Amino acid sequence: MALRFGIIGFGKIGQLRKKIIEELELGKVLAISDPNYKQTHKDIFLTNNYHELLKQDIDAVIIATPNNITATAVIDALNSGKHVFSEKPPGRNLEEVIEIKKCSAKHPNLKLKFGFNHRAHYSVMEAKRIASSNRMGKLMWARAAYGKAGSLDFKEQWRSTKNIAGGGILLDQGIHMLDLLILFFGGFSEVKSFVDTTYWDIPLEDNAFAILKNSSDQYAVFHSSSTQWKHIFRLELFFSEGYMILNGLDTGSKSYGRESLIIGKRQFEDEVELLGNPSEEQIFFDDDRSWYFEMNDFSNAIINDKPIIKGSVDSAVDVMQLIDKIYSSDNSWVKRENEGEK
Amino acid sequence: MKTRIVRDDFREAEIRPSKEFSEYYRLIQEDISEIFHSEAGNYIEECPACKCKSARFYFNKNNFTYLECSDCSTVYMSPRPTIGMLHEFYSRSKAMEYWNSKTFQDTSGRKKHVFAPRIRWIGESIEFDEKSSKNYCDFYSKYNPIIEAISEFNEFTNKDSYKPIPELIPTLSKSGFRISDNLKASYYSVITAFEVYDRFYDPNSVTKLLYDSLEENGLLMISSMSSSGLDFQFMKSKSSNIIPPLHMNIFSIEGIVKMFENVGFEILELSTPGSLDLKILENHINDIELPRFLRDIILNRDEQIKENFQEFLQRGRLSSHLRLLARKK
Repeated sequence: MALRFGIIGFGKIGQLRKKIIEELELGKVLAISDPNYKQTHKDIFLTNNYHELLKQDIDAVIIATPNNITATAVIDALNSGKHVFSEKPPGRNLEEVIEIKKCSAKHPNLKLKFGFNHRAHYSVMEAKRIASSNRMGKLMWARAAYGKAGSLDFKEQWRSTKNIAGGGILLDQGIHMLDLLILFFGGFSEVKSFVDTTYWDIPLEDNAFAILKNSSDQYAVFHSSSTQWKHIFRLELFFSEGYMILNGLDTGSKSYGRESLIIGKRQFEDEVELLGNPSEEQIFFDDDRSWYFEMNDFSNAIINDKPIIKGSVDSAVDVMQLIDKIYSSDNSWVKRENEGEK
Repeated sequence: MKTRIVRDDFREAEIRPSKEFSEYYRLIQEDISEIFHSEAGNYIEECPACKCKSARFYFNKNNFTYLECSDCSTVYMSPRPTIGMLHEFYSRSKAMEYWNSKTFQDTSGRKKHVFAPRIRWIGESIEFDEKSSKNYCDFYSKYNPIIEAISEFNEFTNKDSYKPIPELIPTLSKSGFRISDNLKASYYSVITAFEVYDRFYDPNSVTKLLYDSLEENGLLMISSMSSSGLDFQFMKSKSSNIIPPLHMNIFSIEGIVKMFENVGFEILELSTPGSLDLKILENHINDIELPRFLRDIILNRDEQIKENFQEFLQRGRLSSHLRLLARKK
């Protein structure tokens, strides 16, 4: 069954989604909505009003818009009877995402998936598989850092505009790392945090630091930054019997280093000379198919009427609740936000 | 496709104890003179990996000739003994009897540096899904530690051993393995074939057989020597790892990829996680010609530089022992 797609927001990501749909032969893109996209194609309905797109005879909608449009567009698309794939973040704040969940509950036959593609990176899938096998023992703690440097026009980007983006680096990029922490830990109930704007002249945070704890006494230290002058993606997972370190990420920019997974086993019983320096294995991954896996999952869920596992609305709510806790547990940040609103 | 780097520091003697290996080589020489006294054999007309029909002489060892494929650089024996001669060798060989003895296999160095990483590799490569039944087969089983470890994997419902060495049968029975002389079609979730691919008379046919025996998305895991590796490229016939008539195919990285992809496999991992290339060259520094640069690294540089160099070899799949993980498409 070939699906009929519409794409709302045809910037870099929207165009990438179209390319993947075509490469995987999942169906045809029949409609595009984007106020800045002028190029016409005789087979594609082009509009600058996504409500017009939703009136077209299409099965599914890809939503790749700035954050201020996302939640409304998802809800409108679901109410129009379309299956929806939406890029992250699922909204500007927790309230928007809860509204999406309420709407989704009214349309149980429609599939709704969010683009948390990091779960589909090879290093993450490999680490998750090993963690699930219990060969590493119990997961005790993690240290997670995800950061980028910003850019010359960082201040002018929509991502740095509060009413459009909703949040800064924590919501924009940190959401991926938090989603991975939830993947490995299940969730967190306690949060201590600092959120601040340390360098950029923007009304949003450029750094967020948090210590997370759950009811199983598992801990994670988390840092999200847009003042990370050398890009970093690093997730250290320490288990009772060993450890795994995800380092580097295969992205379009290639600036996060070669994607790899280091695996080591605890080794202190009879190895005096190796104390604290165990033998390791490191796996390097040479390509990123995460975007392809996501679109395939979405298409399969629609065609075979399967539930969305990765990127479900529930997981979107989970990660937005955690983000909300990180913002709200820093009193200074809350005070600044409240004063800003006044 | 992924590549695995193994950081494990040990010496060659830990996995190849010199006294035992000397005896093994002596017995091989006796076997050869008793069993392979005539020059009868079959000429191989095409590369066993990529099927290229052009090859050049590479080296002679114990009166066996090895060629190098002009296309993929796989090194292979041609002419090679007839199947009848090989059967006779494997049934009468004193060297094989000695090699297969349990005591020898289970030396602590081999357990720690050869078998333990391999067992971890199996555990880390198995796909965990909702499927309740997984069937496992070890192809031409010969390693006691592997069987003992796999017996504790609760992911496998059924465990088969295809044509194991006789010395392994008590362990197999104790470990709940079934012994099999044929492979069921589309049945296995995981097949392992360790240190046997270099011995197959026709590795292409074996690869096809294993492909057919796997269920959809089933995994095949093999280990074998690699002609792309550093120590092999310099040691050639002097390599103590190349033992004719046992080793008939020394696959290049390019060659083994072609062979598996031609049969229909998707290669998920191809690694050369060897730790010994430089150490082997160092052990034979007076027996072989080495470029001045490499000689300088071996003789004059510190251990950290050598470790970094060995890691560089692994990253580039240029160590002399390969692992391959492939999935049936």
